[in-house]
Amino acid sequence: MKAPRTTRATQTVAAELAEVALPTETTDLGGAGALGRSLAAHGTSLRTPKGMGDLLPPEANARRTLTRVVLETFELSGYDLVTTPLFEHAAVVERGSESLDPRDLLRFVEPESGEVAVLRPDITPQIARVIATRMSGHPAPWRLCYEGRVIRRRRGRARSHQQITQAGVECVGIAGPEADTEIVLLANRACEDAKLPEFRIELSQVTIAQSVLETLPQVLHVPVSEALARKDQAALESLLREAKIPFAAADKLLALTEYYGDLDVIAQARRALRWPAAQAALANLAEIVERLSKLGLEHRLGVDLSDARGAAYYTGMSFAVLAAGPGEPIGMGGRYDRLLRRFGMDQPATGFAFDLENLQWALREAGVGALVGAPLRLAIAGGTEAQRDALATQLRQRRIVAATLPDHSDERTCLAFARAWGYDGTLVLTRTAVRFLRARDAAEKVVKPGDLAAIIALQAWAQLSTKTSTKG
Amino acid sequence: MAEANAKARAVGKVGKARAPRSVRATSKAESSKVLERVTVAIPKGRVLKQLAVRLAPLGLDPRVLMADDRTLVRDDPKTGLRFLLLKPDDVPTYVEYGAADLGIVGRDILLEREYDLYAPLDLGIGICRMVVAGKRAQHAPGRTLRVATKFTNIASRYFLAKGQQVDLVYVQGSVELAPLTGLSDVIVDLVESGETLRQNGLEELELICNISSVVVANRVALKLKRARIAPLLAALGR
Repeated sequence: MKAPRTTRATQTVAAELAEVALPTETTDLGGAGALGRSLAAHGTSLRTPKGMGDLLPPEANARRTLTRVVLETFELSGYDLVTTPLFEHAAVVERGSESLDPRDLLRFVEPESGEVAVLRPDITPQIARVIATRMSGHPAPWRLCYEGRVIRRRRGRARSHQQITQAGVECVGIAGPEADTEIVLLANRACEDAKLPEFRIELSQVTIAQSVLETLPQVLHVPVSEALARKDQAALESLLREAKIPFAAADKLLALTEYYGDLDVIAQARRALRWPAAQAALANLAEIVERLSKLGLEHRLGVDLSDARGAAYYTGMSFAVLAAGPGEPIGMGGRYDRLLRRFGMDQPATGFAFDLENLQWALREAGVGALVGAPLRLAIAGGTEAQRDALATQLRQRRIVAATLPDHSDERTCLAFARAWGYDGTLVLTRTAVRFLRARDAAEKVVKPGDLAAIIALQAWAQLSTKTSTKG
Repeated sequence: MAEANAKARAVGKVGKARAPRSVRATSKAESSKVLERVTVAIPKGRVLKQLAVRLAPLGLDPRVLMADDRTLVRDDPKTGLRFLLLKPDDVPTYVEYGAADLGIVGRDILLEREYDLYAPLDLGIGICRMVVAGKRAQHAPGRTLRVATKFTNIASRYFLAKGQQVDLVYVQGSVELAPLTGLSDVIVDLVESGETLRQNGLEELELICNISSVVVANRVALKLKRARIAPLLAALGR
């Protein structure tokens, strides 16, 4: 390998680089004046509303790539993409949002009609509406996928973000455990395609908790299912004691909080939870586990029988996908056989959705870099506009990101630009050569004008250490 | 492995008065070689001693918790536990975000704000009462009752359940001062012995609920680190 040729110009550039501050690093920590300036910078009108935010490069690009990978997994399994509107009449959303706190919905009056509309807190009810009103003539099963943002207010909560980007699937028209298996398998496949190394799929069966809840007075349903979902035995005990609930029912609920862990929990629960609804639910869960185990998923699976979240919505097996990082599930789903009926079409259904922010967080935590090799990014300076444009066009045809810089850009400006915007390097056109300046350290290689192959061959040289340094 | 253990022992022997300051000593790779680390968010103050006692059977060095210094992160290499010393109100926040796997928190804080957490164990320590207190004579002012409290949600739910309309005044601390100065008629506050109330001429008027310390767990960590967390919960529950 030829040693990089160092010219006087690049030495100067290297020396100056230390002084070139990146736009993101200009925070001035000294002096009260700085504080005053930064607080007053934009007033308050240019803030995004609480819990809303932008994605900037390179995160936005990483998100789009991840979305594409996940949707492709869905589509390859026969789940066709649909898109649905950002807000709907309250009647649609409220038909399928029992699992959400009504205070989480962002409602407004639609000026046209005077009707109450809701920014969608969930896409599943929209898919149910689409199937029931526009695709009911298609033969079963309906397999659809979607991607989009939903809005949930979370007032007074530690995690206050309001917009969640989901990518999910719905499988409508299959009642048996084969559809539950298919959905879990698809969630697993999507995680693998996204290159997530470690994750766990926790299966639950809400009908067990439901069967006990049904025997309790209506006023207790919400507090008891909340305490159950929190595995809060002490709170459950005091709730049930105060309401003078018979020992048998109270005992069943308290026992439920203990049944979570590995797959052997199902066998233990089958011996201990003897009432018919529990036995039926556990048999269903055992069958799904057996099917998934035959498909090689056994090592991913866990069980949690008290996870009664969404108990008003799910009607059978439900599950959550867990991975280190975000502190909450990266995906959730399950069977919801009652939803379609509310849209006038009696069909069983299962589905699940990823929270793409959380999935991306988990990938970052696991140190998974770009899902596809990051393209080489080059900024072109020097020469004439026509020369720069000709080279840029040739590079772009080879899937290299090429941005041209204005006339008379000096090296220092070029390198500062390249570093700030994540370019791997700058190409400076001279009369006799193309100088390839590596962005991170201003090291230089020289290639002949028009020698595209030589430029492409420098990709590894230009990108190598940025890859390893972005990990973690 | 042997080397990591030797290092862990050495770290454990750091002086008496100070907690082992091993934040840097146990790097990520090293600790995963020894034990998967479990991070526990705990409130500064009274609970520390009880915690040290209950975790002693697992081999926790009590000096890690009891050391009287200002470090906010305390590592115990032998048990692979990391403790974060926080203000009580912040404990559930750290756990909900997953910055801590477990936390110890008064139930008052869980009742006051909504958190998406597991609460698998009530420790039965740090026992106190959430009460309405005031000067008995001033209790019925003949207008809408004014209530000063730090626990506005608990107070508003309590009076709503009683069918009583009240004006809530939010204060952060020294709540006992409010009825004495006319800021409010009564207060809703946590009471342990009742001594502060008595010394300020107030008395307990109504009991809202009993409060104790609860172990909370992150929704994901409880599952992914179950092998590590289950023995901890068992030890804490004794």
